[in-house]
Amino acid sequence: MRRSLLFIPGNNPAVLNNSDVFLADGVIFDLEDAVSVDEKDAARLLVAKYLAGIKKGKTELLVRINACDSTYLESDLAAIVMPSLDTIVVPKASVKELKKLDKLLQVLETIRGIKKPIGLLPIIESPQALLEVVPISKQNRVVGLLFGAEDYTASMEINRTKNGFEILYPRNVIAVACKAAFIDAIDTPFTDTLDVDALKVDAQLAKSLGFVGKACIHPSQVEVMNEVFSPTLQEVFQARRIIQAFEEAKTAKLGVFSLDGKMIDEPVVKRARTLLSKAKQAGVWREES
Amino acid sequence: MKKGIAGSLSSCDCYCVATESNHPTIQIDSVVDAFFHEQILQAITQAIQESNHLNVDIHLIDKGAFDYTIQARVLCAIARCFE
Repeated sequence: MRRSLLFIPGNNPAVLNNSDVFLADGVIFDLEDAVSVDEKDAARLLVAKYLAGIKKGKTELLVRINACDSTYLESDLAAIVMPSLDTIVVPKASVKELKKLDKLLQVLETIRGIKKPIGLLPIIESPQALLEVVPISKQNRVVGLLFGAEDYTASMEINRTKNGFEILYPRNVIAVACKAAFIDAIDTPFTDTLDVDALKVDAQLAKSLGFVGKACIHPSQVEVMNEVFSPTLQEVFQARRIIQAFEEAKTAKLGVFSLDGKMIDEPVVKRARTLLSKAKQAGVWREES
Repeated sequence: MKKGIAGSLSSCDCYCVATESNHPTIQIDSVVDAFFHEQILQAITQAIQESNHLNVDIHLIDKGAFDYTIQARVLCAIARCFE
């Protein structure tokens, strides 16, 4: 599950020490924008030592490396590629760079005896990347796409607004590309860390478009994300009713049936099953409950 | 004399000064020295060995850093010292 992916500055030990207590589904240790140029080496070493000593739990461990065309790429990979690392977040992603990363990772994983392939989470943060989003979504190791609205709107020379009207199109495109490739669509962070109500509205909009989670830039955003991107008890209750009615209809050899006056067919049943599966993962529902 | 500095005096961090030396020494100033001196010393020693630069003086001012932070800061200070 990637309901909440929390960015943590790579050179801040006080925050790193607590990265597993924020209850985010994943934490992204940032070596890129959150670290000044003269501290890149220090952050890289700190994150590497942290990853080397961590006792792996349920939280997904991700690192946002520096851009693939920067001089930091090889040093970043050499430091952080190890068995405890789950996923690399790739800024300014393109197909060409993802192919290059895949090859470099194959070599490092072989040399270091890493059995589980490290995933890639490209950030779609430019018009060029958006136009390339389908091939990007199909590259080796890609487990999802993260929308980066700040850089995207800067490239487009448009202003960011709270209602997000200006990013509706890229959100739609990314969500559709992810569903088509069976990977996770992760929404852009909400930058006003004080406005929880607006954050919730923004997350609900993202969910309605097909995003399964959202990046967080402050620990206070995690709980809201986990709540918004988990099925509600009402949804679970309705999904169970649909499955039950479906089983009864199957016994009665009915292909299509109705529940509360609405037609229920295979896609509705499939959606109910997916929702129950997510509810189980999120701890909202257990089989026997 | 070559010198490298890494880290900070913020809580949970440490400030490390590595200086090239023919007679290496380790100096520790820590808010938790009474309880963790040996552990801090071991973390520093491991990092020096990992760096492959044994000819350094290390002065570490610790503000309650965990072992991984001490090792990272020592390694960084040494790397900056010899870069």
